[in-house]
Parts: sequence; C-alpha cells; structure tokens
Amino acid sequence: MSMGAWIMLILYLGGLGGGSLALIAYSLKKDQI
Amino acid sequence: MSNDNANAARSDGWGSRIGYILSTLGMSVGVGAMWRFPMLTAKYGGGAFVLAFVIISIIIVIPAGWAESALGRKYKKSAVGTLGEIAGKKGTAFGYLMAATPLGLMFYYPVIMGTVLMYIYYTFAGAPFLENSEAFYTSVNDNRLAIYLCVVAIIIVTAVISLKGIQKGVEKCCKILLPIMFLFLIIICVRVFMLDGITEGLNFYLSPNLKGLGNVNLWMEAAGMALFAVGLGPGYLLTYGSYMSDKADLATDFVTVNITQLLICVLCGFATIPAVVLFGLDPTAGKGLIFQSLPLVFSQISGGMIWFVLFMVALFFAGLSTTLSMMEIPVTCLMDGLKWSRAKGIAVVTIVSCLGAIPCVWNDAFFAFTDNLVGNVFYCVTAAVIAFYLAWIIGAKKIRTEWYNPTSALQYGSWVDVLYKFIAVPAFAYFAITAILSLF
Repeated sequence: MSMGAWIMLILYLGGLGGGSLALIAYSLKKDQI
Repeated sequence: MSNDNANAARSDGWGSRIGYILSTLGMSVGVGAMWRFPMLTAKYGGGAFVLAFVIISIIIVIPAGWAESALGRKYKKSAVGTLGEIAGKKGTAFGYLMAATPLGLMFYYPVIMGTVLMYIYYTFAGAPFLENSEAFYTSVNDNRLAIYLCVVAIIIVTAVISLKGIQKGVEKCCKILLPIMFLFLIIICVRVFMLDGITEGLNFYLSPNLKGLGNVNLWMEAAGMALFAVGLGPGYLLTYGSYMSDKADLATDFVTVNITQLLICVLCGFATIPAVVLFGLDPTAGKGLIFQSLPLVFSQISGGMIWFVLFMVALFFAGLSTTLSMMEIPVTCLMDGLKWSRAKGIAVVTIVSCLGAIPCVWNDAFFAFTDNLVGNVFYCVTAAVIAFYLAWIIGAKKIRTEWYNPTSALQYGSWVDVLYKFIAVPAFAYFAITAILSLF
C-alpha cells in the first residue's frame, strides 16, 4: 500500500475506531441515565 | 409504562446511556448512508472526502446537534409540544411540518428495505441475480406486489416494536441490532482485507487526494451528507433528547454518536469499495453498487454468498433502526398535539404509512417526487428554521451555558456559539434555498 493509504488507515482505525470505542467505553463506565 | 396514557411519551425514557447512544446511532445510520458514503468517498478521492466530512461535523453538525438535543431535553415533549410551548400556534404548526417529514419518509424508505429483503430471500433461493445482475434488479423492481408486501411487513414490525415504548421497544431493539450490524461489518472487512491483490483496492479507497479539497462539489456533498446523516431538522434529535434525563451528558453522548456513525460509514466503505475496485467494477455506481455490483464481487470470493447475506442483513438492521425513529416522531407529536394514546398514534401512523407507500411502490415518478419533497425540501427547511430559531431567537449562548454545559464533562466556550450562529445557520439556509429552488 502507498504511504498515504497507510496514514489514512492508521487515522481511521486509531482516530475513529479508537475514539469511538474509548467514548463508548466511557459511556458504559459512567452510565448515568 | 402505560401505553394508553396520553403522556406516556414522557413517562418513558432511556434506560441507559448506551441505550441512547445506540438508538440515536440507529436513527442516523441508515440504508442511504451505508451505500452513499462509500460511493462519495470513492468519487472524491478517498481521505479528502472523509476529512471534509469530519471538519463539517465538528464546525456545523455538533453545535446544531447539541442545541436540538438540549431543546428536547429541556421541554421533554415532542416537536409539536415543544415548539407549541415556545412559539405558540405557529410553533405547533411547524411542529406538525417536522412530524410530516419522517412520516413522508415512511412512505418510500421501506421500499428500499423491501428490495434488500427480497435479495436476502433470493440469495437463499439459489442467487439467480448472479446470471444477469442488471436484468434481475429490474425484474425485482417490477415485482411491485412483492415489494409492497415487504414494505407492509417492515412497517408492521416497526409498529410492534414501537408499541413496547422507547425503553422496552426502540432502545432494546437497537441494543441488539446495532452491535450485530457492527460485528457483521467487521467480519466482512476482515474477509475483504484477506483477498489476494486487495492492496490495489485499498490504495484506491484510502489514498488521500488532498487536491480534491479544492473542489467545491466535494464540500457541498460532504456537507449534505454530514448535516442530514445525524437527523438534524425534522425532530429526531429533539424527540430522542426529550427522553434523556436532566443529568445526562448529552454533549459527550452526541459526539460519541457522531464519531461512531462516521466509523460505521467508513467500515461500509472498507467492506465494499476495495473489493469492487479489485474486480474491475465501478465503485461510484450508487444504489447499483449494492444490488448489482456487490453480488458479483462477493460471488468471486470463497463462501461469497454468506458475506453478501451478512452485508444485506447489516443493511436491513440499519434500515430497521431508522424506521423506528421515523415512526417515533409523528407518534409522539400525535400524542402531545391531539392527546392520543401511544397505541392509537402508532395505529394511525402505521395505516397512513401503508397507504402512502402504495403510490411510491407503483409509481417511480411519485417515488422520486416524494424523495425530493420530503427527503430534501422538508428536511432542509425544518433544519434551517429550527437552527435559526435556536441560535438567534432563543440564543446560542443561553442554550450552551444553561442547557447542556451544566451536565457536560467538558465545558464548551463561546466558539461554539460563533460556529452555530455564523456558519451552521447560513449553511442550513443555503441548503434550504437550494432545496426549494429544486422544486421549480
């Protein structure tokens, strides 16, 4: 894969994947209704 | 919860924080987003489109989404009830216009889901669409009675789930549908990544064409996608916000919804675009990508029809979680506006939806007209008016400092007000004017 593609893949998996999983984990931990 | 209580809409509420997040996510991620986002990403050079989508989400969608959700939580009523309370009879009338938007969507949105259902059925019946995918797609479209029966079944299933209420119906259902949809997408992505020669397709999907950021059309398409994917305008966020408790951190939860929605859209791209490119098909084929290209692509992968069915089931679940929200808005408006019970509201919306679907199924021109009127004009006008009212009449600062900052883990500054008043509202106004002009 090209360098640009690798960078985007890392951004997607790290930024979006990591970010959304972290936020969902946070919401599960602090599960105020 | 009593389904016969006229105030049941507000005696019910989210059972958990993750319930709100998954239900709102279910509302925002629909069939359209799942094929349109990958297509636009492919069309506009991979990462450039996603980057534009993220920027627009941050500067426009998030401030507007916070305000609409906070409005719902503040008054704990439907669109009709809330706007009637803050703007009198004109507000009530506008609330009904908001409710008419998802009701109108119920006329034709299940038609696309019906086609998905038929493809799932035909996959188990020997996958005849592999012989001539284009002719088969046309023949499925021409089988109007079968599509209508699917549409009625989808509307009735939606009604039955909605009858159980927001917590035991919508929330419980989305807590099952969304994780399954997510899991299926991950499984398909892993399978696609394992294909020989997939790097060519990944390069196409991922390589950022940053020169594309200078393309005005890219920004317009990204804005249209980002603004309306999360349901800004016709009362979705307002209604779902009205079920939140006064302690809920709606600002953080909405950001979670927005980021996760984008992740799901990107995953849909991973599941489709690289493989489509690998097998030499057109990744910008739109709806045809789902019903004509994907069966051919998956048929060339070992166990291909299993992956195709998984993708179609994921699509169907995304659609079902969206129709649940489409039913919720008009039902709660009827409950607040006419003091009907939830059961009566659901019965009427179900019957009207089944009747309204008839011309959409049998008349393609009516389908296209309804799509433009409801899915474009009503959507844009309601989004523009509600954003203007919130930002300029009620006041962006008041909403931020009094409605959502007090319960937020992070305290947001006046920059949010500037974005909302001077960027989001003009952007919505532009889309509304463009949409109205499209009628002439």
